[in-house]
Amino acid sequence: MGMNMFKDRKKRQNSDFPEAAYEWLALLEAGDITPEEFESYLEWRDSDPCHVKAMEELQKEWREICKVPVPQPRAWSGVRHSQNNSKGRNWGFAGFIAQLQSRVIYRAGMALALIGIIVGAGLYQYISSVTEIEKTRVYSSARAEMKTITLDDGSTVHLNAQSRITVNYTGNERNITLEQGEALFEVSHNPVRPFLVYAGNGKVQAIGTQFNVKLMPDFNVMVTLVEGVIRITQNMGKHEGLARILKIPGEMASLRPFLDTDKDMAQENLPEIKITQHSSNPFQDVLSWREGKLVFQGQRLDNVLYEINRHSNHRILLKSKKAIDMPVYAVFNAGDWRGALSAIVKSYPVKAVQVSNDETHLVAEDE
Amino acid sequence: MDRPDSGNNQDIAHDETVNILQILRADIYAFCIARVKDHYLAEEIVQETCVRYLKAWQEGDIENPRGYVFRIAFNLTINHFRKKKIRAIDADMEMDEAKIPGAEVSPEEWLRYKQFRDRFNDLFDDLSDRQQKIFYLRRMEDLTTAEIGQKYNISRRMVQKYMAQIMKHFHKGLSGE
Repeated sequence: MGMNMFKDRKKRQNSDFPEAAYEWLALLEAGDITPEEFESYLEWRDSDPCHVKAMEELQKEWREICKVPVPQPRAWSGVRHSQNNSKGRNWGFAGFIAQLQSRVIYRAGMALALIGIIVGAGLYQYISSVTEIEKTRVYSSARAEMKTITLDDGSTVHLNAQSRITVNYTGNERNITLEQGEALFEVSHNPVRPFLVYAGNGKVQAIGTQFNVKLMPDFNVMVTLVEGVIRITQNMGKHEGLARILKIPGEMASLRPFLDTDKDMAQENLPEIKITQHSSNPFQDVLSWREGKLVFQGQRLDNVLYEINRHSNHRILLKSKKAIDMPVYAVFNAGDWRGALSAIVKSYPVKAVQVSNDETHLVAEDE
Repeated sequence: MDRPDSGNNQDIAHDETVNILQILRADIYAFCIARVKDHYLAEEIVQETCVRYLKAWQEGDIENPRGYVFRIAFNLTINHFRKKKIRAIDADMEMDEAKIPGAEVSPEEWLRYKQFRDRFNDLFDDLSDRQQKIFYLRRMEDLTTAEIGQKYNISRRMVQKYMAQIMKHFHKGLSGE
């Protein structure tokens, strides 16, 4: 070997860029360079200042190149890239499947089959009135049902009961709208394609992180950070929105609904993003729903019932105005509406009247 | 353990050895990063290499310090691979971490990246089928050139030739030649 391992070709290009530099870079990037090879590289590099310069330039450029995902080779895709003018081709659904195939084909072909089955089972509704690179999908969970969904980019969404999200991925952005309920997001890293969650009039932006978003029936939004950093902005129509950044796990941001911008502005009903340190261990209460526990720490009874009802096929309705504001401190098992009901009846001035197989009313005790 | 030198001479010799390590440090790192592709792991291996080198030096003369240092680093990377086959962490991971405080990419950066990616994709389209496959396997599947060679029944050297062609193609294409 030695310094003549790769000879500089005599016929150089117009520039005096040493041709051997490409071969040395290929060796450095081989993934299994040996110490002897590395030493001969150093020998070559240090034998001429122009080699040092060339390698610096080449390696810097190569680092940039390594930031771009490599498209699937056309020989594997069956579709010639040159016929596809869309530059965002790898971001679409077809691109996802293609990428998935190429990534798992050697290691876990089964994964693809499994996904096929899930897709076939109709886990999601697919709306086809969209372009090649821009597709919208709706995922929803029924009452008493929780779901975990893996999105095209590897991000995961855990849907709480009776929740619905719309997913719209484009080349530049990953847009998700929480239309109902609550979801925990585990976001896969991609600095150039922000992950955005819209809920009510809030927008949460994340890079490589975990957070929980809850849309209340009254359109209040609660966002809890589990891990990483997120940026929350409030949509205020034509006015500049507020933005806050959450960095500490367990921090919770609450946003009020802001439906009619001008009217709210006139009434000085200004929107705000209130940040509280919800809990030092966000898994314990905010995310307890993932473990099938419903934890309440002073929430209003009507909100608590909404939560309990989401997790069972039996509906408990509050028919007494008196008890509506009563704070609830309790832990219930999701789905165990009977247990929750008996605890509520014992602690609050209400009594239960079962009106049908799947509905119970809570009325004032003295009625 | 005791070296024949007097205490003072030994101190000077020790300083020289540390000096050698300092000079070599950047290259040891370059070697490690070429093998493990992970900044933190590479730093760790550089540290460990220096510690082991000093220990070996105390135990006796080392004829070819540079060769010895890279041999130590090489063995450490091998040990690492035996423990667990790590996934390649692309350079963009480091970029992400640097960015987390702001947690966003400016429109200018995004545009710059997008233009770069478009040019990259065009240049990728120009590659031959075999070049595309080799490039993909190296970058996205993290196969080494030797592994790719086995796959296509060609030598490691041949795979590196292909990679060099690909690198030249991108370099020429991106620098506007």
